Amino acid sequence: MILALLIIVLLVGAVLCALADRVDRRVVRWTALIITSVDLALAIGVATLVSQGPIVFRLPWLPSWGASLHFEADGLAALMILLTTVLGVVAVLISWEEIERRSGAFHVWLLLLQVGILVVFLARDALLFYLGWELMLIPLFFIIGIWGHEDKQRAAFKFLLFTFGGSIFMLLALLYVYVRHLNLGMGGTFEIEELAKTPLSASEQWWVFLGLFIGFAVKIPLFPVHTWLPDAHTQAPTAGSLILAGVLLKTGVYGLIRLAIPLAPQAAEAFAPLIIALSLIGIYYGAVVAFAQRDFKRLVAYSSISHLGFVVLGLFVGNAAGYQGAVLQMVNHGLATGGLFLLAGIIQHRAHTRNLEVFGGLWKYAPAMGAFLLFFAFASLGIPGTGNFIGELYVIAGTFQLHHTLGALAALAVLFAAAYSLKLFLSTMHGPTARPWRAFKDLHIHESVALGILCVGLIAVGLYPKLVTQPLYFPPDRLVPTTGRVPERVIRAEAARGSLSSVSRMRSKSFSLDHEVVLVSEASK
Amino acid sequence: MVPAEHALIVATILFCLGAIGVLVRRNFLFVLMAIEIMLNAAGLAFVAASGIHGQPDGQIFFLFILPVAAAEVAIGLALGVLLRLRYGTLDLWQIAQTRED
Amino acid sequence: MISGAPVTLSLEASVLETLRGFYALWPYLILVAGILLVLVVDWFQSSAKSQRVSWIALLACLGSAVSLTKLWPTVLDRPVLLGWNALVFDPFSVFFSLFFLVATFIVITTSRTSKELAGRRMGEYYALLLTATLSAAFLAASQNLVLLYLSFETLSLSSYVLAGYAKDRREGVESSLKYVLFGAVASGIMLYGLSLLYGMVGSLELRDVAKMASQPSLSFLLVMVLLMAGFAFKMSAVPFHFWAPDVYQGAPTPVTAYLSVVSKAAGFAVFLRFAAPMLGVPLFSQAVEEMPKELLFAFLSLLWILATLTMTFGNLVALRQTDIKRLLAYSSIAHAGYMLAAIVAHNQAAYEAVVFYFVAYAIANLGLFFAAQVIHADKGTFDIAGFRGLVHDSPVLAASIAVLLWSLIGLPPSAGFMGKFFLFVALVKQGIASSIASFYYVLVLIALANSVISLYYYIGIIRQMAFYEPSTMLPVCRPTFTARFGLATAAALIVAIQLYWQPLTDLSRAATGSKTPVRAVASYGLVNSTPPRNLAVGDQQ
Repeated sequence: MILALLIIVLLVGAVLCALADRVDRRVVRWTALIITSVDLALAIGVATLVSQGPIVFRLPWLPSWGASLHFEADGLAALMILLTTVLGVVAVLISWEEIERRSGAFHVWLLLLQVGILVVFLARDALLFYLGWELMLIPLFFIIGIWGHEDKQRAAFKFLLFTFGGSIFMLLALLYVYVRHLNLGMGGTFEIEELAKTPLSASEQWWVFLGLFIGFAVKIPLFPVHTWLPDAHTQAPTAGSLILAGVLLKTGVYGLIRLAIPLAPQAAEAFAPLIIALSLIGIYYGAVVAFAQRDFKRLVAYSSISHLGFVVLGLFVGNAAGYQGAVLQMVNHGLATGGLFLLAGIIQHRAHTRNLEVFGGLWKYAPAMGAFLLFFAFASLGIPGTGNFIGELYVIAGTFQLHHTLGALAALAVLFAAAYSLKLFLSTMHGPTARPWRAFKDLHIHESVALGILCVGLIAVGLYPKLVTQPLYFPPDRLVPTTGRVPERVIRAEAARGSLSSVSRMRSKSFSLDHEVVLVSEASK
Repeated sequence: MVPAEHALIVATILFCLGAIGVLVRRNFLFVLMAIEIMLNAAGLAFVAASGIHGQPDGQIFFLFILPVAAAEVAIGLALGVLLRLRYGTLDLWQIAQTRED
Repeated sequence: MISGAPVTLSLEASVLETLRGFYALWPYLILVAGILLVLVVDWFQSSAKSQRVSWIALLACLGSAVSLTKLWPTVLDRPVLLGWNALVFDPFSVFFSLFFLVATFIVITTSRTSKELAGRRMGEYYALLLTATLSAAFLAASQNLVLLYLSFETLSLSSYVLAGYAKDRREGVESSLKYVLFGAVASGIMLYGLSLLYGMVGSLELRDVAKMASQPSLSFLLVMVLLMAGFAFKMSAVPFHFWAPDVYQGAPTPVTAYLSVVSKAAGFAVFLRFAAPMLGVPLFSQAVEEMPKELLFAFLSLLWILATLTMTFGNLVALRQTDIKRLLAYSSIAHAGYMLAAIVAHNQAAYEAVVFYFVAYAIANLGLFFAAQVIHADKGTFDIAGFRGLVHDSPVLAASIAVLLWSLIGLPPSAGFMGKFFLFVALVKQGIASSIASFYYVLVLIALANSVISLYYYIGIIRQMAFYEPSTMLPVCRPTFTARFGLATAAALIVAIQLYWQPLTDLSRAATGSKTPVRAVASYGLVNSTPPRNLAVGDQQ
């Protein structure tokens, strides 16, 4: 029930915001803030409850079609909705001053955007998942297109075209599995768990995975299909960028974990080398291009591509360390990059430009802002103490287990991250004052709160990564799919039959990694 | 007696003539007439086929084609009057040209 | 006519069966009464009050629709044959009749407020509208080539006049001219095809035609090609689509809505019925005749090519349109392509999908043409610029239009998405079952790629509405409450179907015979040779 409440609260909030718009802008903001805070509280509730086992909410929808309103939160989903709701609150806070025009509509779209994202994270019904997936497009399209910056319409349209173009392949793949399952004669179903049991031949899996992968890769975005991201980020209003970078990109990775790998485990394995190669290219490409940028937001956007490369790399190296690192990085990237986008928005709101070349010496005028920027830049380059350090460490460790050269390559990329992060900080805060920034005010209280929330999150993950990794392995019989190496259904079947040890044995057999067994059993304690 | 197949061949030729007429004629009235030829070609084919099968069905069909064709012509002529009033001509090419201006 | 009636049928049984048939004919008789009444009453009205007769037309539609819903359970149980097998009232034809009537009802309501039609005598208009609907309903029900041709022509003839009803407008006359010429040629080609068909089969009954399909012959394919000319004209499918953009633009907007929904649906209905036995779909009654593999494949290839061309052409040309009615015309061509694509799947699921899709398409199209009319009434333009900043003028109107457009793109949550979903399910189903899977998958891919293309121009309108400030050159759009309410209802319906599509799929299943009890199918085929049962049923009536 709490899961349904998460979504209902937001929907009610959207209606309230629309009504409040007739009264006053301030009422809208406060309504949105209260609604998102309530949602955050609910998400925290979910996160604590989930440690006792997955929370299931299931309502028949159209039984004869095998469609149900099936929401389920396990560790991973709980983490993601926690991230979503945290960023939801932050998004409202950061739009406090920035959004002046049509504030009511903006907050309605903002809340609906979160509805779509939450549906994606919670849905265990393929149709529901797809609905949520497309539902995310509409609000963000309007948020970018109406409240964005100079080239907003083109960016909004590009975003829509790319993601819709990707999702049609995903739809086709889902459709194929649905019909294949239908042909088994057991009646149609959209339950992902049931669909995953459909026996597909290797070549069928190959195509299904390809379709799903294209859909998700566009969203993540992986290297060759990333071009919409810098535009969308640059043109979006701050809250849009925040949600986009913070959670929307993760839905792609999440989809890989939830749909692509379970539905086509063998194909996932077959695709792994290609995907690893793409993500490594993405890591370097993103970092190098980020360094060359003059636009604050564009720089951060390209750094996102680089970071998401790490996430996908971790996911497909095929061991627990990589997987944990990937999830850690998802959370960290959401917080750190979110913070950078907030700062970008704050600075742009004051300076009316994002051009790094005209900045400089801002520390003098805005030391608090500078401190935050320093922190987030360091977090982004992965300094110890922040979550990013742990996340990257895990991913790199996982990659080393797979192959030394690949591991070395991944590790080397951190240097590049240092380059662009420092460039970002130095060219903004240090150096000669390029312009007389007389009217440049330091942070408002609500801005500080927003940034502070993200900071606390990052440090918490950095100092106590179990916060993130713990829920991932609980309870043991619901192991999240790691990679295609061991099909999830096999793991689940094994787990159901025997104990966790059999699972770990199996895993260690398939990876011949002693380390992994330790990790799994440790986490389950 | 003329074999029915011959009538079918004539019908085909008529139909083709009608189709060509529709394509090449410039005057609206002649286009209408060409359409009539197409319809009547089909009617002839019906009657001929009816003869082959020894059934009245085809002839009955032809009886139904007649009023339909008449109705079509009635609408066509009404339209012709409108065209003439508006453009002062029934030349379809000229009408098409005035449209582009 | 003679050939269709088995000798075994006694006169008494025949009379009783006909009496039973008259019961099924009620809805149509009401419509006929409505037509006559409209004409007569209009005679006594002054020109200024001519709009009053629309009440009669509305009542006729309503009465007819109500008696159709009463007929529904009867035909669901067992289809009714009428007029020596010339007409069949099975769920398929009754569903389409109902569909036409509802659409006509909406068109009449929108015609009442149309400024393009203001100041004209409306008696003939409504009479023609009802005549067209009646013939469309008969077209869906015809089992005999004579009736098929007659209803086809009646529908065409009334559409010609309706399209040119605003005869003092320049575009009106021109579009009418184009419509008449294309229509006459298309029906001429079809008629020639029919005559060849009769020559080959020796019977005018669709059932006998179906039997012919089982014998491989190239000339049969030629006949199908000729007949496709007529069907494609009504569906506005390539290559008989040329009339659509001009006529859609030139005709009064309610008529455009009518053509894009009823006329097109009639084309699809008759094609679905005609092709069912050859495609191997047991649409009630009709004995499935296995078409020889090569012939079937040739026919499917033809459909495949038509579908691909139609949707791609429609979408690509729609990209360049600036007039909303023209844009919707090309979009409706594209939608005909999607539905043709589904027919390529030639299975039961495809038939269901087309019916479902048509309902979703009709809601969106009727709504959008009405919206265009509302905006035209205030702003005096059909240009897309009229949509500029509409969200500031009337948020409800803009939001409803956006939902309807969204549905036409086929993005969830909307009925259009479910429609496309079922279309693709049908194709994928056939693909999995078939040895030439890629034949179907490629078509799905093309259709999906087409919906991405269509995104561009549909979103273009949404962009105009939401992203821009209203143009100061044009007056503000102030839709009446009724207009807003009507469009909001359409939008709500679109979303509601996504959330709960079961009733509609049940309906489309019933309409295409998936759930017809075996008993009914069996009795239908033997309907004339089992007089006792007929008598029993006749007595019940």
